[in-house]
Amino acid sequence: MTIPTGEILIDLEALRHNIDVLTAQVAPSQVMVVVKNDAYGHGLIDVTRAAVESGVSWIGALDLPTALSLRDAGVSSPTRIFAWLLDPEEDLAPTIAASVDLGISTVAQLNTIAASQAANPARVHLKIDTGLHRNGATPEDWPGLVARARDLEDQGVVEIVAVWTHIAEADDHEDSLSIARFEDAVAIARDLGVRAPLRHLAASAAGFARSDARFDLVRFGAFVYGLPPGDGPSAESMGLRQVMTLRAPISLIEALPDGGRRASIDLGFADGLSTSAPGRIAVAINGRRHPLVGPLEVDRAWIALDDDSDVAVGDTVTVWGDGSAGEQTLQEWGNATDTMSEELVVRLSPRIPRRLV
Amino acid sequence: MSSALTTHPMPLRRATIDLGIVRGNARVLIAHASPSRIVVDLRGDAYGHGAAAVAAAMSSEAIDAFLVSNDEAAHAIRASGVLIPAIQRRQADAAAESLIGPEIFGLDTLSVPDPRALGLLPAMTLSARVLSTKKVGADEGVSYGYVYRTTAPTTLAMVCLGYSDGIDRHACNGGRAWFAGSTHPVAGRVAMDVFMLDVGDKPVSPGDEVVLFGDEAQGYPSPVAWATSLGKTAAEVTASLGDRIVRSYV
Repeated sequence: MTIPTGEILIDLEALRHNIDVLTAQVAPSQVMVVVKNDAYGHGLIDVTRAAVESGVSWIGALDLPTALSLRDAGVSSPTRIFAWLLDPEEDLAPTIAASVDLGISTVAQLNTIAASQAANPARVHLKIDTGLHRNGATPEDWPGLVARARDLEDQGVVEIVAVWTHIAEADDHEDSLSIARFEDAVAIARDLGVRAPLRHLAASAAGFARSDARFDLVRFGAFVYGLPPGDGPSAESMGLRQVMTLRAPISLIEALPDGGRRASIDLGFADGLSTSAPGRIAVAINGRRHPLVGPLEVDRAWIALDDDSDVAVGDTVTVWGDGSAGEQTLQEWGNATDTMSEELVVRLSPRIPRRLV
Repeated sequence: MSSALTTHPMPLRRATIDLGIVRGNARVLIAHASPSRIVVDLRGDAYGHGAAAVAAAMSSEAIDAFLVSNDEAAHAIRASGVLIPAIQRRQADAAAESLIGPEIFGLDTLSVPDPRALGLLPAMTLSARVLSTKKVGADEGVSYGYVYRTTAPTTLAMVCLGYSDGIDRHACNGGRAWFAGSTHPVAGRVAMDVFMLDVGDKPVSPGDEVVLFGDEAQGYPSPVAWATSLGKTAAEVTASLGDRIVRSYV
C-alpha cells in the first residue's frame, strides 16, 4: 500500500463563502471566477461546479483546452466560459461551436475566426492595452480592431460581447490612468457601432477595492481562493477564508551530532516547495510551530525539533492553511519567501493527492 | 508526471531532452566514479526530465540502481522494460554507494558546481512560442508593477511560459532568453502564464520560438547561467518545471 507523502485539503465551504463575499462586495457588477491552472491548484472541475452552484455565471478558463474540458464536464450554457490565451496555430472551430467566449487582441485573430467556418457566430471580447503592454490592441490599433470586428458582426461571423483590459496594479494613479484609457476605448467602440458591450477591467485587488474599476464584471482569481496580496490586509480581515491546506506526515526523526533532533516530511522542491522557505518559515505539528531548516531536498524537507517537542513519526505536519491548526497562511508564506501566494499554489505538483473537506 | 512522448508538431511549451547526451554524461560520470555500487539519482521525476524515459535510455549502462522518489516512478521505470532496479531512499545505503546526481543532466549541484568543466552537457532545452508581439515607445512600463521600463522604442514578444510552469517570477532581474540568434532581457515580472521578452529591433511573429536555456554551444543560455541569475541551482529549476511543458525526447 502506498502511504501518501502529503495531501492537499480543499474546503469548498470556504470557497463558497468567498464567492458570496465577493459577489456582495461588487454588486451590481457580476463576478467571473477564474479557474486557470487547475483552479490555482484547487481542482478545476470541483471549483467550477461549486462556483456555478453559488450562482456564478462567468468562468475564466485561460485557454481553449481548459474551456472545452469544462464544457465536456457538463458546464453548459448559459454559464459563460471565457478563454483569452490563444495558440496562434489553434483551430478555433470546436470552441466556437461550444459557445466559448474568446478574448481577442488582433485583426489576425479575427481573421482566424473568419477562416474557421464555424456554424454559429463566435462570441468575442475585444481587448485594449491600457498600459500593461502584454496583449491587447494599442490605442493606435484599436479602431482598426473594432472596425474589423464590426464588419464580421454584420456578416454573422462574430458577436461582440465585451470590451476589456487588464491593468498593472502598479499604483492607484497608474491604475486610474488605465481606467481613463479604457473608458476612451469603450467610447470609440460605441462610436464605431458596438452596441452595449459588457465592460471588464479589474482582477481581484482592484475589483475588491475600487468601485470605479468594476464596470460590469470583475475577474476574481486569487481572492476566490482566499489569497490576498502580500504585505496587505490578511484574508481574515477582508472577510475571506483561505481554501487550501497542505499537510504531510512525519516520515523520519533523526538525532543530530549536536544533540538536537530533526524530522522530515517527504515533500521537496520537485513537489513545489520553495527553496527560500528553510530558515524563513515555520510549520505546525500538534498546534505548535517548528522551523523548516535547510537543505530543502528534491523530495524532502527538514523540520527542527526542540528538546520538549513531543512528536512521532506519522504525526501530521500542517505546512500551510488558514491558521486554525497553528500554521502559517499562504500570505505569510509568500511574504517570507519573496513571492506571492498564487505562485506557491500553482507550483504544487499535481502528483500530491487532493481531497475535498 | 509528464514523460509521455508527444506527436504534437508545435507545442506551446516544450522541454526537449537529448537522451544521447544523458548517455554520454552517464559514461563520463561512471568512468570517474569510485569502484563501488553505482546509483543514479532520478528523484523528482529525474529532476523534471522524466524518470522512465531517461532510465530506459541508460538501461545498458553499468548502473546498479536508480534512486527514485516514489512507487509511481519505480513502477513507470519497470513498465518501460528496464531491468536495473529502481529503489527508494529507505532502500539505499549511502556509505556503500557512488551516487550520481543531477550532474548527469548537465546541471550544477553543490558537489559539481561546473558540470561543463567535466565535459557534461545540458540534456534539456526549454523553449516556448511567441503568442503575440507589440511595438512600444521608450520609457514604457511593462507587466505587473511596471518594474521594467523600456529604454528605447522596441518590440515586446509575449512568450507562453509563466510562473505556473515553474519560471521564477523574479526572472526579470537579469534573466535573458534566446531568440533569433542572440539573447534578450526578460521584460517585467513573469506572470502566471506568460512573460514578455524585449527583442529590440529583431523581427518577431506569433509562433516564433524562444529558448530559455539549453546547450550554450548553440548560443542558448546554459541552465546553470539561467539558474544562477535566480540564485538557484539548475537542478532546482528543472525539477520545478510544470506538467503543461511537453517533454519530448530526441
